[in-house]
Amino acid sequence: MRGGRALAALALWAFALVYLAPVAFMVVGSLKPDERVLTEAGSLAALWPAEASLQNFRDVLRRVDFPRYLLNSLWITGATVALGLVVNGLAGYALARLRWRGRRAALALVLALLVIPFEAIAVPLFYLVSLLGWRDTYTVQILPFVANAFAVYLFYSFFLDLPRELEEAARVDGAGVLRTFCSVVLPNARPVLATVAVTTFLFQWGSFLWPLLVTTGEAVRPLPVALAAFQTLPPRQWGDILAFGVMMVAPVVLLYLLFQPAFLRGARLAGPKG
Amino acid sequence: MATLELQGLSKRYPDGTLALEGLDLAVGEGELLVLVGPSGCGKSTLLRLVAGLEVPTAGRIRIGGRDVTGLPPQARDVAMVFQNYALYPHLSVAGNLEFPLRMRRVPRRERRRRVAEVAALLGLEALLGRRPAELSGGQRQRVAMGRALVRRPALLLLDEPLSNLDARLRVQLRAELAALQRRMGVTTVHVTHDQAEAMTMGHRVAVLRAGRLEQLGPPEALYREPATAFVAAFLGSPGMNLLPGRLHREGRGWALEVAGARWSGEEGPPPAPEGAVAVGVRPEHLHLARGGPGSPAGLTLTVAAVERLGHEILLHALAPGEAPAQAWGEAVRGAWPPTVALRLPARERTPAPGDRVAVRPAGPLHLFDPLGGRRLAMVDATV
Amino acid sequence: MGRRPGASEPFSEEARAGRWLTAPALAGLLLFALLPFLGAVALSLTDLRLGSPRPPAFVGLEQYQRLLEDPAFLAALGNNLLFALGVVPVQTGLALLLALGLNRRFPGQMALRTLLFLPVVFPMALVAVMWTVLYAPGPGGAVNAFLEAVTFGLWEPRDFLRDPAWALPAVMLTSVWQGVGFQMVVLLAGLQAIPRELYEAARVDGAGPWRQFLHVTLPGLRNPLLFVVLVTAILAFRVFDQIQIMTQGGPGQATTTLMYEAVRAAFVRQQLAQGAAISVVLFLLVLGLTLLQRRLLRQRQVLA
Repeated sequence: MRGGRALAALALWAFALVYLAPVAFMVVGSLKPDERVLTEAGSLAALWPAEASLQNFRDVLRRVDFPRYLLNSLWITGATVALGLVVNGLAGYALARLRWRGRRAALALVLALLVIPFEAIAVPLFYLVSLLGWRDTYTVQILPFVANAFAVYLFYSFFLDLPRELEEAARVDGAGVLRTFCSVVLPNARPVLATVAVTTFLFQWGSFLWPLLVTTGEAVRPLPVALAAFQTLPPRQWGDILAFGVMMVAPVVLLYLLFQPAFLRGARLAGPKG
Repeated sequence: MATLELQGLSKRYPDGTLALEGLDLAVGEGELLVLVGPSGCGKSTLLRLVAGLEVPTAGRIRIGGRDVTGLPPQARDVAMVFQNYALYPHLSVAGNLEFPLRMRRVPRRERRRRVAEVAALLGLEALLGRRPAELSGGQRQRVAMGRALVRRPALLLLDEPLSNLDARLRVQLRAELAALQRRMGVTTVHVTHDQAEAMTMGHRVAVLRAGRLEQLGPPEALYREPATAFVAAFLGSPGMNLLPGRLHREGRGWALEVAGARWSGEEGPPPAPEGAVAVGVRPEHLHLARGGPGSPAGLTLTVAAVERLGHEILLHALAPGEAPAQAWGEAVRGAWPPTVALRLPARERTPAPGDRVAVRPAGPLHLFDPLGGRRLAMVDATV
Repeated sequence: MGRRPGASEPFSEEARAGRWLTAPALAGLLLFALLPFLGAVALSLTDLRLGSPRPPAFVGLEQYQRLLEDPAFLAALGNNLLFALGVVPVQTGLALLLALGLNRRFPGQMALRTLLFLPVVFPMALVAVMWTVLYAPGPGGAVNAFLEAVTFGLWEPRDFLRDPAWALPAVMLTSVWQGVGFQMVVLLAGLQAIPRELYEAARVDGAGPWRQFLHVTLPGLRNPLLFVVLVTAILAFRVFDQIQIMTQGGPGQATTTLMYEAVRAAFVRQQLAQGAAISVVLFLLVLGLTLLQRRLLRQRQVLA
């Protein structure tokens, strides 16, 4: 029994090594001279840089305006996350807790919209924003993603499970609706705030289809689209491409390692209830 | 400190249930009124209406003479202790105590003074830095009390404040709470389902049933002279025994037939209209008859269970007889089959389950209207 | 005890706040979700072309009829189905194995969970680029070399992304690699929610590890497993990024997908109406899977 356990743990670790080899490949490749990325790909040297240098990173910064893409992505993602937390959080609270006419209808609408995948509305949404003259702007990449049915739903179910007495106590203690929300509900809503922030962040940071459709120039181009363009930019230099990838994912990995519980809880909260 | 007046207060929930029906009630300045009743009797609804957490369907609420019916909770100057305490998990004990003062924009220096004062009053000084999650049940209860009192509210509302504690702590805090209330002199409405809490704490007790006030008065009065069969059975542990009986004239006096036994009264007309009555008698007012089973005056019972409590013995026994007729009202029919409880001194030789015993009344008998449950008379029977 | 207050008659303060607090979210959802969705349905019934001076005409279900005869559309639909049929069992099975492995204590268990979840935070565009490099043709390609090593030289190197038989599986493997950590965490949470007493009771009743798995673990994982399976299936119908970056639908039509075809129809061939029609088909497929999921999971009544 005990031996079996050790064996299982060993097998898991072995699997993890193989599984994460592509990540190692990317990091190591980004440190190698361009031509050796592919020539050494088939050997174990693929996972070990004999002579590491940051030349590829310098090349990326020289060949394209990486800081611009990064700032674009940061701005688009940050604005969506911040606005989304406020807009969806307040809506989730009002749907879960406040008593007003139209609440049920609004809730039904949110639940119905949960079903629509973004892909199914990308084409007509593109047509809509074209009519509005919004192409090639930050707005077109932020605004459509602020209000989000899934985020509203996450907030809604979280607030539904929060003990109502806390808010009632605050009301009796002298707080109005908004003060109750700010000084009692929000401080106890950290888990759901983190979860929604993380899911929104990952969605926007990795968003590819939409910016591909609505951006033509480089001015407002975010990282994923920039990466795809860079990949086909001649001359095709694999070391540079991998360096681009490392720089693009580094902030996410850093955030992940710092706030790991929030990321994992995000997955769990998105999962089924019970 | 203020008075509380409720006038024709009704509450109907959107799903149609009527939680309160035309309730009139007045609580005096500095009084501790206990609202007691079984689950769903409307007592919590009443508290929530007074707090402003619900809006009444009809009626007025006045606190200190001011009509607050349409005001939100924060404008009512009431404080409330919740059943689960509802302490703010993200704030320390000090933060919790300070919260109501902060919400009312009391200056910082004054806040600090009041928190220290209330912490001293409740013995919470050593806990001020802790989070609610790090407190025991009794400590949480004290913090909840402190948070309610720190503001010196006009009215203090307690919603089952002791029901989440274990039995021993509950008894201890019961006394503490009553003493604290007396010291602060704050007008208090205390809701509970525990009749012992009502009996020991209330200056006056209001018994609620199905959204209506069943009886209101000092606890001893309610115990001694319950206005209805419901109050009689609800107060006391165990509550008053209720048996189907028949009252009729006999010679120059009257007699009461109860489950095969015949108890006769003094001379004079019957104390109530002849016919069916519900006969109530407290467990401590039944004694074992010397004659044993078979004596005509004794009520013959079969012992079902014996509880030895040390200082006394509780005997639960079944009375013979038929189920009460359909005509009998809810109040009395609910008590069928009539289990009769007896409270006996511990030194008495105790019968065993299955034994047949004869009992006789040794105190007042209460006669209730078998339909409505209203009390008709209180008599002494000779056996 | 007292009743919970339901949606009772509103306090004016609450009612006002309720409407104002939901207004921004509702406005956003109506404008950027409901309106485009209705737009997709409406557009799919016309012959709208981008940049055409002619006003669009109502053509009824013609676009859908044309789709049914369009080999490119049918190929894309087939690829999505294959994608689902391939990815769902592999990814679920792998995630279940990993979750079971991680559901017991051993040195480095937490670190392992952290590492296995890592690819989930990688943008799909980046994952696609990484794997494009890894799938490099010839014996020097990383995947080819790995397979050659583990088969002791039996593996014949090939050009995965340009091989009609291998292109789709290669893209599928990429998706599994990126997504399996998510399913693993969901299943792990499900495993941890199974009360320990059930295992103890089963042991007392004489069940061995296999029977415990069959009679305690699997029934306890019913909902998480259903969730994982259906979500993965839904994602399989929404695939786009990998295709665009790794294969552009090729070779031939070996890896086109519905979304890829929709984008091509709308933006390459400028037939916006046809793109909309494909979007509607995509929606209906996802809707079907979602309804199936809601039904099977018997989600709690959220309309409180």
